[in-house]
Amino acid sequence: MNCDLLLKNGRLFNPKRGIDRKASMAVVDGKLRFVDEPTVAASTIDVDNNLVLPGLIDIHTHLNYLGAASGMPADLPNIPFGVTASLDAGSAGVANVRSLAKRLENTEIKSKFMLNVSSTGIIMANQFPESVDPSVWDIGLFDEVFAEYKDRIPALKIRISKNVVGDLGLEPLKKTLDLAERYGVRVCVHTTNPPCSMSKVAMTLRPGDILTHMYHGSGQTCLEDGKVAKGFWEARKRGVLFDTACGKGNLSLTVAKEAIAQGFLPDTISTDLNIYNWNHPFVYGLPAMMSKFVALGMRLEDVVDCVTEAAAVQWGEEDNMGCLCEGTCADITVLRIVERPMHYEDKFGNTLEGGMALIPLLTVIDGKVKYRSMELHP
Amino acid sequence: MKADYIIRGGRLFDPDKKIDFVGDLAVRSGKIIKIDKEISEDSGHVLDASGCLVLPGLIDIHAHIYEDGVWNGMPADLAGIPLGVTAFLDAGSSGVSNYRDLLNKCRTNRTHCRIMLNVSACGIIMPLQFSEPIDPALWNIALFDEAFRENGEMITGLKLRMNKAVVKDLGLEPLKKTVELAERYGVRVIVHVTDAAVSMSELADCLRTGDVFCHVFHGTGNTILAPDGTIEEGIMRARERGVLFDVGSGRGNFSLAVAKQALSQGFLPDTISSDVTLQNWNNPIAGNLIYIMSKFLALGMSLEDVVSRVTSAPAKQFGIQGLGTLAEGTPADLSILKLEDKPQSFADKFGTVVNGKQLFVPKATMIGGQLLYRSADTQLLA
Repeated sequence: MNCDLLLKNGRLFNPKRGIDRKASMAVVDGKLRFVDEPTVAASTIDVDNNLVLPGLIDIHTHLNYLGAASGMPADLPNIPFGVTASLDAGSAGVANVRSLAKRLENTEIKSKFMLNVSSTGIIMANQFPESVDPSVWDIGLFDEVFAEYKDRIPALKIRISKNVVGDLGLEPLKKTLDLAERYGVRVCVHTTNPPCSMSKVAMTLRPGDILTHMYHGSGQTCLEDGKVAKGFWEARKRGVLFDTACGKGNLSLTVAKEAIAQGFLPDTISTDLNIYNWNHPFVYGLPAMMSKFVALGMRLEDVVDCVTEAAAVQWGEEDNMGCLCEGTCADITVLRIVERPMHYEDKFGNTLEGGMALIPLLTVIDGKVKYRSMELHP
Repeated sequence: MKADYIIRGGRLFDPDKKIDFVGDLAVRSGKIIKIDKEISEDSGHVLDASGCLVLPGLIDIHAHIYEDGVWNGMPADLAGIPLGVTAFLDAGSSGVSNYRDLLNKCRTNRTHCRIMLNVSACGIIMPLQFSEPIDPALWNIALFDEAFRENGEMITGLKLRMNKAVVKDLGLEPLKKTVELAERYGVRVIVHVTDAAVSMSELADCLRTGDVFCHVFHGTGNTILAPDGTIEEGIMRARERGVLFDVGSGRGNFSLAVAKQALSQGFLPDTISSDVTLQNWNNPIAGNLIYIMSKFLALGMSLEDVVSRVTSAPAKQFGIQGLGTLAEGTPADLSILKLEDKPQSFADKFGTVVNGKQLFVPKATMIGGQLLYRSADTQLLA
């Protein structure tokens, strides 16, 4: 067999598909191929028994670089950290989404974006909240944006923190759900300091909608009387999805640890990456977030699933991304597991000790090497 | 006086300014505000640089970063920042017809970017299929005038390739006309010299003080070595005149044998650059700027000589004040590297191999006071 790229001596790791074995992985025409026979490769990289994963997918980031105060350049914080696809979480709305869409056309990483129901998106959140009053929405503009970008918008985004919704309560969320029905997309709701209980927020959502910042620690949290909210369990049964989007301020280590101990794990793990938190010790990057959830009590298998298989479902390409399957797109991430003491903190002063770090070594997108650590230099 | 960052405990190394000590470096509002053995002021963040070299941000003056606009264009930020590079000079990827597109890209990069304008209107757009036309008879001087009038601050010089395939039967005429044009705008000429129709001395004789002779250690056709292995006289004359010799190593523009021979005669390059493109980026032969730096250590150059050739020396060609140094008050562009003891074989396309003992590994990169890369094993404290 001839191939374009051969990763040899890897530990292929895709737990959802029951894959955990020492083997080589080949790429032909941008697609994955399993290798049994001797192979002639245009380019060979010895990955030295490190983890070979499906490319990592971060489903909560802010990529409106130069177009919003918190916008981060899409490639720089992701590709050298093993992330091959990044989903912007509502940085832009109908007024400015074209600029974001065009900017993302010029990146190496795969990208999609959620459309914020506020026409401005989250443009300067630390100075003033975006307006989410449904009475000012122009449905014609939403129709236009979806006509143009339907395949790039998997969800509508809304923040329902008290300072955003004011006295509108859950009304903007309900109207957002109506709008999402119109376009057949998910809703992703930001839930810190909510205007009601987290149970109620979860119960409002439909199957496939995303409750994000699930382990936040501001105002009413997912713990009600010390137990994971009933509404969370019921919503999960109905198929509502729960995402972490940790950021600098949207994860309480104490809340997360307790909820995980009670068996309420995230569906997806994401960063909420933006220009202020990237490289900050609380966030750093997606592999660091993965190590943190191992420290919080999750199994590595589940953590990997949260940033690959499960994330690909929200991305909308679960048949082509997030897995190591014959013929799927060759997005590949190689990580090294290093056992060493890790110390985590959050903004509430909680601390957590961990025992391992995941070090990014190689990032491949559609079969092309986009990052290669000096450690893998021949 | 609170700092934004303190880079703690690294070996601060700026040979041009005679800075070489283990200590701390404080950054505020995009500038290096203090370097000292120990800085105890408050800081937003502390980055642990112990065991590392803290260098001025590396400046790569021969790169191809016209991403999506030419077939070999590399995305600048991705090519450089995770590998310690904070400034790229594009070596003539574009000409008068397309350079504004490249400048638009340059202006949104985090990496400092400047360009050399190719005298060919299309730049080096697809050299493996056809050579860019450089016949001066085709030049539209008004377009050059417009380029330097409107965007002169972004254009450091004029680029010309003088290999046989490009020059055809025009001889030295395109180079002479390029030098005249450079006089008109007061800029440098940079000339690509591999597989030339004439000797390296003849090319060098055309160059003025400050012009750049790139791919100095190439091994294709006539090289800088005379038949007896000594450096050609014309090359020595040019150096005395102040012509600058750059490495621009790439996949194919570098011969370890030529470099070794030249270095053994004391002929060091003025600047070390990568010639990075989409195709050679991270290629085992070409590597990247810090890999090429390791290669020059293996070839016997001192750490001091290698570092100055990717910092203070190229800064003089780059045209932004204050780059390439750790001096207080200059922009906080920093390249934090670890020089690891690790056996390494460096190869070239001619099959020559040189064995080295050390390898530069990137640990953190800062541009204008913003931390834009940090390796997973580099500690940052809130």
